[in-house]
Amino acid sequence: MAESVPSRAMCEQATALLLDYVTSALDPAITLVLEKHLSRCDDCVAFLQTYKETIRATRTLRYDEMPEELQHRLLHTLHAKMRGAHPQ
Amino acid sequence: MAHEELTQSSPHAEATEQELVQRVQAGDATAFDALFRQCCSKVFHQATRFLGNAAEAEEVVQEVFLAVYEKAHTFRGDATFTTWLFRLTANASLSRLRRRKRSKEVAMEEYLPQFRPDGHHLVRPVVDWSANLEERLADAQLQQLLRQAIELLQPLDKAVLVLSDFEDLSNKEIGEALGLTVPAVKARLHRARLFLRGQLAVAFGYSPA
Repeated sequence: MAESVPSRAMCEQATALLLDYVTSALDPAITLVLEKHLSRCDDCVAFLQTYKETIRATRTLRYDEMPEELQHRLLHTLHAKMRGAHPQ
Repeated sequence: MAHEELTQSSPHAEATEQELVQRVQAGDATAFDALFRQCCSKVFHQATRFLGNAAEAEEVVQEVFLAVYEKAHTFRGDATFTTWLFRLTANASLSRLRRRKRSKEVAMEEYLPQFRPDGHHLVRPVVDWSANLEERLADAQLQQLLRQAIELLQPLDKAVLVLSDFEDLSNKEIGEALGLTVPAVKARLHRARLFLRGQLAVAFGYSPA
């Protein structure tokens, strides 16, 4: 991953910095250079927006809850297995 | 160990995970049940996100808690119990993912951004479809598409993404859980996110580049 951006940053270098940029983990000096690039590059602004929204979509993804019945069943199965196992 | 079903009035109801694991280490049988009830959903969710199906996640829950029972005495408290549990779950899930025969290999590069020799985006203009995605976040079809895209990630990339974007672990914690350096974690996380972005771009009818 790029650690620095030349003053005339290009899109490829800007894209490599987005991971740290979206969490404000980027060095302040590099952030300034990146934001200068973003201020004049609509392509990178569009890319940044879709990158951020992808993260948000991933984070809001829902999976099935663990059914109560499954918890009971697994605990019973574990008890049975533990009778045959011993702490190492 | 005798294993009695716990009731809601269990003396462990208010105990923290850290306290419970200490009691398990001391041979308290009922503390194990309380620990299971307190943490099994977390393990199940994480394993489901890794493996993409509940049946295998169920097997991972069993494997992980059997390991907790057998290895409780090795838990030293250097990390939190949750981090230890995440590590056990990640490793059990990763082993399964690596044993899987990949039915469909996807050329990851096709969904990553591409650039011209001068560093500009290859396909211009880059379209901002983020508003479309925001509108359709609750759409079951879109969620399914995203789940399927996550399934296509390489095992270790998927592991990093799950621990970061679902479990909210720091890059350092992820590195410790998976045996990776922080720069390696960041590189894999960025690549995974770019791939998912590319998959979504294609789904919306745009170029991932």
